[in-house]
Amino acid sequence: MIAVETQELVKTFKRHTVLDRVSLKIHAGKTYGLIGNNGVGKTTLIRCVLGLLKPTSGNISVFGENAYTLSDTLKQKIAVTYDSPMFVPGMSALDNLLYFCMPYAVSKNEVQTRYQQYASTLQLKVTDQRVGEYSLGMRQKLSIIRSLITEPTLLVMDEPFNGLDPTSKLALKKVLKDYQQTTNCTALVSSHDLTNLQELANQYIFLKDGVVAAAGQLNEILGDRVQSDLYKLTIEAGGIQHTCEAIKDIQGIVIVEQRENVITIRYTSHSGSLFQLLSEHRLPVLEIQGVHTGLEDLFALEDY
Amino acid sequence: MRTCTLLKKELRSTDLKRTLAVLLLLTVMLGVIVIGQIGQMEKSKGLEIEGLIPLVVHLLQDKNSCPEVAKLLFNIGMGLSIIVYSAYIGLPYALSSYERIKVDGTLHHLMVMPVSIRKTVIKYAMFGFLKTMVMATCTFFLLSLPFVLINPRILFIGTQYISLLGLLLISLLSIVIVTSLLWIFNGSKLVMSVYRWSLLGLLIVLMPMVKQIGFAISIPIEVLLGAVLVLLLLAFTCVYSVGRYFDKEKVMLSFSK
Repeated sequence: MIAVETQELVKTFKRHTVLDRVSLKIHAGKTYGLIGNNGVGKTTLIRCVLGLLKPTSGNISVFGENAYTLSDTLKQKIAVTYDSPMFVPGMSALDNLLYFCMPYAVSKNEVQTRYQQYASTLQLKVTDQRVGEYSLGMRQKLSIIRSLITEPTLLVMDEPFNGLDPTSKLALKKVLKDYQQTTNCTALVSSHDLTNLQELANQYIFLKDGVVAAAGQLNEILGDRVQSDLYKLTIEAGGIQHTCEAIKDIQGIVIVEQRENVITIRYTSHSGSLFQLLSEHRLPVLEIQGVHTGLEDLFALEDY
Repeated sequence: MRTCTLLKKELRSTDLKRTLAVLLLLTVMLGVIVIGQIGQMEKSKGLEIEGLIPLVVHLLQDKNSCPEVAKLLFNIGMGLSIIVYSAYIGLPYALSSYERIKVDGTLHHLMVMPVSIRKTVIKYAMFGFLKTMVMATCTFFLLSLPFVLINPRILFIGTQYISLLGLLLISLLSIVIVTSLLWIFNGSKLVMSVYRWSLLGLLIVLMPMVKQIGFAISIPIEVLLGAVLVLLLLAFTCVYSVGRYFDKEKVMLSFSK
């Protein structure tokens, strides 16, 4: 089942095209990471999915319905956390949740129970304190609770790790994973925190200049190309300087990083095996290890 | 629970001190007008009674004067205060609710939530009207208290319940119309400016009229009914148009400005 589908989606503001013929399918039950530099159109895409922006051309549908004119029945199934969490400052967390959950099919008791449950997991202190006095991290946690409390089928999150400390980030990942597993919901998460996003998402959409540069699972996007590019060489003690100098002269090998006696290289020559090449130059290499590239590396290498 | 939560939110955002100050100020102002009108009544009746309280006691005990005082009290204490509170409290409150929910982020969420924008507009207009009614009732209560203490029958003599109902309906419908217009124009500041200027214009036109005809007037039922029907039609059109012309995209783009 497809939760969100865009066909040749174009969004233009005055003369500036932010999304340019974006066609993608977001399958139900999966967590998608939306990645890209600032200004590539991530938030615009999210706003189009939420039906806040009308496509200039092309289509966008959510659970088969036009996103801009989505029915209230489907809106019940969608929840969102914005990058800057906003609440009624003069009310307590619980009052805010009760207020924002009013149009949803959730009872007061359910709101209270779920609030306490999520607050405990996300380490948010349950108090009568006004939300206006909350820190960014606390508001972010409350915003996440607000989105989960209505038990959505489609969860849209813009920078959910904003303002969270490392412990809270861990807790958030656990909460989201558990929720995803129990409800089989679809999640679209936009974040610049690639390390945490990688632990959360199983599908990725890379946006570059308003265009989908790549989409799919990480290993599909990586292919063999990037995974076989990077290697870690463990060098014999005392031989590091000599090896570094020798490598600089070898065509097809570039030093990416050097830490103590470990050199990370990018090997782009395809004329022979790396082992053979290193042996020919009689370099004191003890171990050759292929580097499994993550989102961060891919992002840096491909300049998305 | 739901309406209570919304009401709770609205009450939290109300500046109670300011509201009380406005209430007292208007009550005093209207009280001065009532005293002035009673003085004029004394003149017109050719009475020469020393002191305000003996004069009021005399007027309230006189069978002919008592209904006149009651009518005056009702027109100023209830009628005029409904008009003034609608214009200066109810309407600005309903109008400012748009900006308030825009600032506190509710509007941002509202557009994603399964909420009818039409119902939202009506709710805020209703809260504005509620505020108007509560304040007008308080003012009427405070103003009429000394008169009721002297002659409790005054409450049942000259009270024009149909006029009161008509005025209340006019107040409610006006608040609904102006609030809808604001949402139709996606929170444009122009609506607020036009409202302020028309209010000023209306004041300039009405002041000399009131001076000439006084406060002891009665609006014919036909006029009241006609006004209510016209406003009802306008209100329906405006509320219907909110769903049609409220543009989420324009509102979203105004967030980033």
